[in-house]
Amino acid sequence: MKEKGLVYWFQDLCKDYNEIVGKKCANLGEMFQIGLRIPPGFALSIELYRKFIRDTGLDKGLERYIKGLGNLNGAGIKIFEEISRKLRTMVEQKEMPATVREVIISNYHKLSQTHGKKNMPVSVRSSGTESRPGMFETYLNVTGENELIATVKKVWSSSYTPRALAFKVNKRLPIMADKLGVAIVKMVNARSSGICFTIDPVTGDNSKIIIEANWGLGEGVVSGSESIDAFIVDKNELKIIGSHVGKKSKCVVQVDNGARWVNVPSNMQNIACLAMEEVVEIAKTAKSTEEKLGCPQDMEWAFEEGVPFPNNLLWLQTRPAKSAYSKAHTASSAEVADRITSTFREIDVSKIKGRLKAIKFKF
Amino acid sequence: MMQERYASPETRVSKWEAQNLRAENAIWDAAPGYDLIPEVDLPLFHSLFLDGTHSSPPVTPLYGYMWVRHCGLGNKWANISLSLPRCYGWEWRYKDGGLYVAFLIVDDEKEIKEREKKFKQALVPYIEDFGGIWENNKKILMDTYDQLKQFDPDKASPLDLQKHIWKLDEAYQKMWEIHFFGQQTSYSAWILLEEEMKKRFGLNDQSPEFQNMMRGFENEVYRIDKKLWLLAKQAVDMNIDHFFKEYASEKILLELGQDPKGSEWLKEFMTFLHTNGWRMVRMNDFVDPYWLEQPNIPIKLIKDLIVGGVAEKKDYPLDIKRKELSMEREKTIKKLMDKLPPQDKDWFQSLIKLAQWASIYSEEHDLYCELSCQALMRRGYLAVGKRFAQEGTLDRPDDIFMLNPWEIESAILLPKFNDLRWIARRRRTEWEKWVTRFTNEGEFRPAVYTDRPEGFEEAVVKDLLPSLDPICIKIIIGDLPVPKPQLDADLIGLCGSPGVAEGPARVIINYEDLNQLKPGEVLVCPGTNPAWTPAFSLAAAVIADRGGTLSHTAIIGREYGLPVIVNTFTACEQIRTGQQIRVDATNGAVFILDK
Repeated sequence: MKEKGLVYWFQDLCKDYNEIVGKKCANLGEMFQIGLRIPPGFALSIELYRKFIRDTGLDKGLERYIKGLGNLNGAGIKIFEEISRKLRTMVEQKEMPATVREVIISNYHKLSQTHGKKNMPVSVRSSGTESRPGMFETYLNVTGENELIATVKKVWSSSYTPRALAFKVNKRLPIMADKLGVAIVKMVNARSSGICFTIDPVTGDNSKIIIEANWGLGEGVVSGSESIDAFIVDKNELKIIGSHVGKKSKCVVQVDNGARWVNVPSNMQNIACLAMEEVVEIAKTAKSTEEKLGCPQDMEWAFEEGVPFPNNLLWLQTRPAKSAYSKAHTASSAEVADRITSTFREIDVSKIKGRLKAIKFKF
Repeated sequence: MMQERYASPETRVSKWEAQNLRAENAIWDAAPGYDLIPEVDLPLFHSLFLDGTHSSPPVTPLYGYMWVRHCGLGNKWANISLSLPRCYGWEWRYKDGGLYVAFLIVDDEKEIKEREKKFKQALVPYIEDFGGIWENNKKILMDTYDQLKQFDPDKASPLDLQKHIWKLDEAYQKMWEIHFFGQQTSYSAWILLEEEMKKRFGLNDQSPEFQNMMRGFENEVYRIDKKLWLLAKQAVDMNIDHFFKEYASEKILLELGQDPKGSEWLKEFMTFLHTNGWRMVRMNDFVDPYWLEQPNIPIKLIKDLIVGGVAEKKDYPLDIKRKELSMEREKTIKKLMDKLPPQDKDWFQSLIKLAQWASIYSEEHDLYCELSCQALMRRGYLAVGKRFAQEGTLDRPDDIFMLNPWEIESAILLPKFNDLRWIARRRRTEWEKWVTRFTNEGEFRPAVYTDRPEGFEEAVVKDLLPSLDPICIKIIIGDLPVPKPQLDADLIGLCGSPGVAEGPARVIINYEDLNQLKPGEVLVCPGTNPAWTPAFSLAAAVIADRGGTLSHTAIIGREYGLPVIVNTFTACEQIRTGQQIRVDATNGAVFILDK
């Protein structure tokens, strides 16, 4: 068992830390370990959350309140909303104990100082050990000690959103949450952001890399409502073999205390938000990531404003490309079929002979 | 008046007796067209092998007949459509409650080459999307079952009941039609993967490196196990666990029903049962109940979780284990991928993926195929049996399992004008005789009917192995333990799931005695089936005398992270309950520490 620290910097993590800092943080650490450039930041461990609820007495309070709720099977959304309000207030109104506050703030200052800032804008994200719907709250562009502390509490309390509560009751999981990690990541001042698949998620063709991009932050691509840019890169040759420049009328940018959709200036709407060399750089890194991790990836990236190429390419997330991963592509399946067939030719029946005592059926 | 024209059931029996009509002077015709007649069958097939796994103890005539017809049809159809290069299909026969099978072997090399071409093409969809195909098949099966569940056989008109019986027949046929594709394709991949691993790294499928790639998967069987655990946990949370601790499982339901909190819990339990209770306890036959029919069965499982303290754990133990195992799995695969030359990575990935399905499918299909479908069949047949018993057509409802479908059909509309007791009685006498003999002496039926002069081994070598049927190679034959004198072990078997453990032995031959098993003991048994699964959360290790790396014992052991040794052959004879045992599953070695 690994030591249960309270804070870990991403460069000290890898995916074995899932149970200690949650999936999101462990993943960022793993990305760093395989050589992807990630935005700097640190993880608040699950242990730190436990310390918070222990030191404030919140653990008992929550438990008492939850026990008092009795059986919630079949409860309507109104009830979950009410319980959610109550639980979230209980968490958020608790004064952060000095020791916990100190741990968060000192690391926050360290992050700010390394980048020559007094108060570095950060994003604060929940990092649970399991992905559960309605439990992912992300706060963008959080600046300054007090705001950070308040936001951390909000992320901790986000395991009690009405949707998360309904999910847990439905699945008969305990309502009381304790495996909550938090990622505190330097805010990326993104010029353009997007996603990248090392396999075509629709056809399962893994000879190509697919990139989608928009101006601004990644939220402007992931939600998929806007017309955006798309590029197809040949994985072998790393050549762009197809591109589509969409009319990007809106994108997401940082504003004070968060991020929001804004209109893209008209002269930027119809031009590609990535240079060709940038597209290739994304594809190149994605290809090597797929090779290192051994399966097709679904990745998120951003180009940071004011940093020279190629150091401006940052990676925010990578995970196995789900739907595509389950399907093999045709060239390799023909090969597998071929090999299976020949293996039956090669099986040496005589080896089995002579060692035979009995037979047993099972199907 | 009717009584005058038609003699009463009692009178009719005395008339048979007067004419000396008895079992021994009637021909055996339980499975018309499929009864094994050596004089007819051996000149054609040479050898017919006893399927001891699916017909021990001896199965009833109705079950036997349904099996030989539908399992045979399903297997033949799978081998035909996949164009298995060297096996046309399997031909089944029924004798002495035993299911016998002949493998229809392709000998002509030219024909084999043609079949290989088609086989390659037929495999492709399974390589690409086994999961999708199985999902779709599950849906087909569940939809079929859901429709059948809607039917109320006790209230139905006799014609509707007959139509229901036909639909059950069709469902069973559909199930078997689906059943074999999953095995033939995923086992084929497993065989190739093992060959490749042997060639490249000297690892067979008993090595931890191989087995670690094949475990850490969720399936519906485990999801239901977890639901039972959640129900147990809920009982603890509601402070009604004392009912489970104090009372025998037969009384728990009654006691809970009289308690307000207990009744609330029962509602939840019944909801669970209506979804998940269409599940036979016994895999092969209709004679034992299903969960919904006999809620004591799942209640007993919940009781064990409560009494054993498992219900008080914060997380479901298997969930934690699975997470570890799946991480281990991905690491092992990654390591393997790193060692492969670049041109092989791609197809190896697809191959592993398909081979992984061998474990998952082995367990999950039992539930979706046999256990669920046969529960519905039991309900339907028993409903007819009840009517027959009321009308004097049969002596007792479960005598319906002594008939074949055509006999049932002949009597269903006007049972009282059909006396089937003379058939049912003599078949029951026969069947009970086999079962008693089996209980007392063990397997008494020949392992093979053959015209090969040298007997069993020659029959296997000439009439089974050349089929190179994946199920034959991997499951029926399996691997045999290689002697390892350097280990100085008391018994040698195959590694079913790696690891080392020590504990007192508990030898259990029959499922009924499984409740004797205590936490931390080493379970020693002839073999296991889905009903034995709860034992895996108690035992420190499992030793099974029969079974290969794809047997139930091995697969479940791997998912529970428990050391398992299979194919020890004589552990049940050599080990006595209470002896301290060390199980070095990784090396397939058993040590008896206090001889």
